[in-house]
Amino acid sequence: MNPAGSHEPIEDYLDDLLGCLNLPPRETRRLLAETEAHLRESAEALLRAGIAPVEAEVEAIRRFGSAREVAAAAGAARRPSVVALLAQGLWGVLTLAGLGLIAVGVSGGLAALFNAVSGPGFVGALPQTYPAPTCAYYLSIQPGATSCAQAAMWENSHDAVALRLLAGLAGAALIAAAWAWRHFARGDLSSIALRDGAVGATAAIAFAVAAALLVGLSADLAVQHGSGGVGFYLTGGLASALGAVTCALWAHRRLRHLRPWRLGGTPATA
Amino acid sequence: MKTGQLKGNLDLVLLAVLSGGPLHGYAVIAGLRDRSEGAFDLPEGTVYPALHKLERDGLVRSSWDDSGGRRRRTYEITPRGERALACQREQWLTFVHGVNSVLAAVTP
Repeated sequence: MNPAGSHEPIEDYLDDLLGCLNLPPRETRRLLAETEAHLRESAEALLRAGIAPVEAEVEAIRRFGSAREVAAAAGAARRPSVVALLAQGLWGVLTLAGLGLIAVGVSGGLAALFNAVSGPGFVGALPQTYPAPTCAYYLSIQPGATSCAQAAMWENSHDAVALRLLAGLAGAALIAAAWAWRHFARGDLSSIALRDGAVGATAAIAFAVAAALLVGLSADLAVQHGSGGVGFYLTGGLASALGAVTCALWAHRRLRHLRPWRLGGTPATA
Repeated sequence: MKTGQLKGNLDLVLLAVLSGGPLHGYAVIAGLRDRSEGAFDLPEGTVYPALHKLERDGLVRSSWDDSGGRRRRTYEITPRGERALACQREQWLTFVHGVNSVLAAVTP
């Protein structure tokens, strides 16, 4: 019954349906508009067949299904399929792996910078001893070195740049693959924002933990053994910190789209 | 036909109804009822979410139509929807043929 006391089944039904729906605003308005148009058309057809007005509305509603039934169907229709979830998952894995490897590449660039500015010792002079076969290997590939420690330092400082830059290139390739894959990982604005936010937040947390560990390790090394080899870990710590800040900002920007007034069914890509 | 059986193939029958030309929601449901000769007895309201899903998947498109004094959403099959219909129809016919072959051996 409405406030005026007259029985309006279709109006009551629309109120019930609005209360049951759990959809973005635009989809809610659209389903309600279509439902009202359908019910009124159905009731008019029944009216023309000789059924009384209120009974015609009640019968139109019965044929339409209960508000709970329709709301359940609307919720189920929005649920992503297993294939869609797998596509989104693959995008997330490619992006996370790509971001991690790119951070390794950035640390390689920083290692190259430290090598150029402070010589190979800051990155390469790790305070450790090497067994004879390893020493022989280092001396064979660094024939200009006068000692095992010097050969190992040169090799470590060189590897810290070359291998990490190589990893960075692999990371760039994975990000390119994720970019290409985005066409298969489509969804509405809210689900894409949630996916991006989750991937960004996961990456930010992983980078922050890595940064804390690596900076702590380099500080410990500096306290116990001086500056030799500190750059080996510090470059990773700085790259991780940069990654944590960048990914946190990205996650924040994407998750802002989850505010209720920004939800909508607009198709979007990554 | 049980509602559960139809739900699994609702996309196929909706695309089939829309392959005849653009229709608004009420006409889609009426077409479904008429073409099935009353065999499909599902709550009419559950068809709209299915149509919305088809639209999100790019198999149909829709637009508001204000003609006739009532605002209604008209649905139209897309070329991608036509291809999906052909593919699903083929799969369905293969399935039906298989079931019929098995049932043919059963004595009533």
